[in-house]
Amino acid sequence: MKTTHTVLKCMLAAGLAITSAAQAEIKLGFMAPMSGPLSITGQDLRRGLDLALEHLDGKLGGETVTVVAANDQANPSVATSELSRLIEQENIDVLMGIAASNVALAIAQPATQAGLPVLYTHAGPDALAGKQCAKNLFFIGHQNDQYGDAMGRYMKQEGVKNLYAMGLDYQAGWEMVDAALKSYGGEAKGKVYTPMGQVDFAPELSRVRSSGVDGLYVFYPGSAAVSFVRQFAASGLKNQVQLYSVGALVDPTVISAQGDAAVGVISANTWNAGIENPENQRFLKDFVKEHGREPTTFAAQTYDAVMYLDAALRKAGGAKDRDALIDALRHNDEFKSIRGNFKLNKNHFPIQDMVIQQVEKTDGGYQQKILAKIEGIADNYVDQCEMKWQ
Amino acid sequence: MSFALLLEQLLNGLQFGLMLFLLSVGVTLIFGVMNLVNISHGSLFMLAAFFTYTAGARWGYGLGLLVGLAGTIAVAVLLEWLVIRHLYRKSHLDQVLGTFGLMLIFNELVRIVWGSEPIFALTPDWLSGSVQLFGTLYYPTYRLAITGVAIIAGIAIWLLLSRTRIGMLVRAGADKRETVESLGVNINFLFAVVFVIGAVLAALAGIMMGPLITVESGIGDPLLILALVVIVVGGAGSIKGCLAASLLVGMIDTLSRALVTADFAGGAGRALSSMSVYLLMLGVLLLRPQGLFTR
Amino acid sequence: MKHESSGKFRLGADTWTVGLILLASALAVGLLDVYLLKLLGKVLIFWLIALGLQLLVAQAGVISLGHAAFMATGAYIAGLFSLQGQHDLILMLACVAVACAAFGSLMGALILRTHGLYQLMATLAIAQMAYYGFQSLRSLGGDDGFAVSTRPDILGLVSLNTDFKLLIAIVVILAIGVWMANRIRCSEMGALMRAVRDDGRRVASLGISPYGIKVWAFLISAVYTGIGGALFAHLTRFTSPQLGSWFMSGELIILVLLGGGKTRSGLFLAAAAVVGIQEVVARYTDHWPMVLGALVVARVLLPSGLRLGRKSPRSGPSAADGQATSIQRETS
Repeated sequence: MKTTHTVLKCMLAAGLAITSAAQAEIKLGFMAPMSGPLSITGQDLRRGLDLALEHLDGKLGGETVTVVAANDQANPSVATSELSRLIEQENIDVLMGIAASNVALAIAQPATQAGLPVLYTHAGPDALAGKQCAKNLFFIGHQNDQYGDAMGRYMKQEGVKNLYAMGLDYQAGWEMVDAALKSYGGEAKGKVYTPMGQVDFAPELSRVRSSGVDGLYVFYPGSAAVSFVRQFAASGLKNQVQLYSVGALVDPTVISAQGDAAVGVISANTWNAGIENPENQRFLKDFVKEHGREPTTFAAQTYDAVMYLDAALRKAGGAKDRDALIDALRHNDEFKSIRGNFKLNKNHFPIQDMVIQQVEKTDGGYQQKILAKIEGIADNYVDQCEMKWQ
Repeated sequence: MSFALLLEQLLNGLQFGLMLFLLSVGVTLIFGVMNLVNISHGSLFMLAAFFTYTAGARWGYGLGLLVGLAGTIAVAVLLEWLVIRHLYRKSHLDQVLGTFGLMLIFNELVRIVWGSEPIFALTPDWLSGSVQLFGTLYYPTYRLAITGVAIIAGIAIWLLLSRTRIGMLVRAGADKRETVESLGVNINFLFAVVFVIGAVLAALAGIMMGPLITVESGIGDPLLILALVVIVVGGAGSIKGCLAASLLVGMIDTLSRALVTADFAGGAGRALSSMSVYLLMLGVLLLRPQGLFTR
Repeated sequence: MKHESSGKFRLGADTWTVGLILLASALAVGLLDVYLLKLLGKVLIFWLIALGLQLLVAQAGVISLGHAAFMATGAYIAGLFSLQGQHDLILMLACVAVACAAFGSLMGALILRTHGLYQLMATLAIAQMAYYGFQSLRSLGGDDGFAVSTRPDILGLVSLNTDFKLLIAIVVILAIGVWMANRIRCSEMGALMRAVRDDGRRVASLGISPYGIKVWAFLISAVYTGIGGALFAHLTRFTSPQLGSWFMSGELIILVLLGGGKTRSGLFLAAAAVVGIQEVVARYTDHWPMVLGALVVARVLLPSGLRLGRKSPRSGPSAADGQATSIQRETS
């Protein structure tokens, strides 16, 4: 009789211990493009996540974290079913990641319907910054226009007299060019969008040369970035025209393929290796040690997002109470960004300092020297968002 | 547009056209002789670039070239023997789908071996820089080199087919396979030779264009679609047609980009210029399917 | 080459299998969780599209690498209806059918003037132009596309706002689609399609235009694909130009390649395989396209009797098929 009683008590205690241990765990969903043309981006997003979790000893908000990864293939229909799987089958507490704008848009509504808090680390589409803002969606990376906005301001500040603009002919390209021209304030002497898959830029470069401009602002990501920069340098335009762009044109994944052609390019970015604060130095040092090259903005923003979530979870005391978590994500004063100044705006998009950097050649390879800081950049859509909480 | 600019753009068009020719001539040769549509031609293009510039980074440009060509030939021989050989007698759709599957496989293999990030394609110093053509017109040396290689390749193929014994056998085999076989010629070997020649042309294109564009997984694919357009316009199987069509497409594409701006026709102009090449091909297919430049 | 039995279709093994699959799907809808429901929905939609394509490719002998254009058309129309606040399912599907029928007959009329490789290239060209067209619509999100937020309802009575209800609707639509495809196969039209595939000139000598028959086949398959696209947009709550890409066109024709030209249940397996590779295998390896590629190559190399499209004659200038110009002619 007594032994049965003791056994039952032990079982009860064990049961409680197990359930409470299970409750103390955080399930973090991570969604990124791990295959296909955006796989480079997805892989670095993952590296940022892994390094952050390493620095946090595998814990978020003090509790052990299980990462459930999903490959969205930069395909909205795959992303929606993967989101379903993460929510229904894996019961994740928070979703983090995402690089492609179309995926960002596709999962917004389903995630909101499920009440799932989402931290977008690298996507920042206009639509979700305005009317479609939602209280469970947080954007820790950027709002797309911020890059162009900062670059435009810098070009105006530097008195660039004649400007030519070029971009890839798709949504992001149009947005990047428009944002820059808007804050530059003047008319571009020429504006050309080139179709995706175009590999030869000779005719456009010839036009730039003959237009006699002193500045060329472009937006080309990925493989187009390599082709464009190399051809720009080979055409001899480098001596006449200063090339301005955004970080993606000359980031660490493409700069080794570009070689010396990248030297001298001025770009706007949310993060730079040279930003001096202890968090950034730690991130940079360990990333280089582990991966043999500097981190990209994708990795940096994801690292920041994980730290952001960690601070919020500490404040909210875990992920179980979603309203508390959302409140903590909004009022996350403990968070120290590797980027320096960082604050969330009313629409859950960042207000941050943008960096203007220039590629320099060093003994070890290439480095992005900081030329200027453009402070307190927000976005143009915040007024359309109807959330009120500040 | 000033005269100097016009001249520069014409030169751009010529050079782009010849670049297209270098890419398409292999595809049209294989189609003309073996009646095979080969989507994985773009993969050979990609592999050659990877082989060359990986080896080149370690052992220098010259050795890189050798490794690139030899490596691609090896892959081509293996590919022909294992897969391509069985596609000759199948329908064009089967060939397209089969070689499309091969393309998917090659793209992933490259990712597995080299990763997803683009690699550096070194250019020797004597090929960098520009050449003064006249007055203020400087043209990049490298592009002139590509032009030269394309011309030489075209002449070499033409000579091979029309002036050598192998060429004669190839032409005969293309026309009357059974007759040639009954003469004791190993037609399988012959077709393999043609496939390898096509692969060498693809390799040349990939090696030459690598430094200009990018060297990463999947670079051959959009170019291959363009090559197919050129072949259709020029007449599939015709080398002279291929040359003429390449130049035509190159010129049209370049000149339209030389003139159209972002706001042309309210933005519709841009969509139109992307579509222009396809419109040309569609026009040829409907009005003169045997190609613009064949009899 | 095997002939299809025309006339009354016996209730053969295939029909029983199809019936079983439909029944199983209907039951599964009640049992599966939302994630698996979504996957099943995708499989069923691809099956529907493949049925239409099989009619075109295997029955009428026309090849198309451009059908994704219809999928995108259907998806965008569904999206537009949702944006405009017009939520009636039947009206929307009717609109999709009409639009795709029109687009399909136009495209068919153009490309059917060509043959073999040229036909392939023509379909690809038109589909690419449609793709660029969708991509250029900045107000509809450009190449990002846009979210299709509200599910349709049936005559204002039943809203399909849960995946469960949408799946039921998909099963019903699919059953109708299977039935219609069957009727077409067994009808005079079906017999004419097969006759045209095998020998167009003989059909012409009977006073019937083979060209017209093929355009009909193209139109029907376009409608099937368009409806599939519309359902897909609502299932995934998103529409984008990606649905009209050449990769998607490739996937669609691969469905018929893998499924075969004869059975309808084979197409179901093909749809399950393709969706399975892209969504399930993808969880275990980032290199899932390699698996798909290997499957396609293996299928193409198999010496089975699948004839997709006619084998084009090799030698000589065959004007009727517009075939390759012999190298010999120009170097002599």
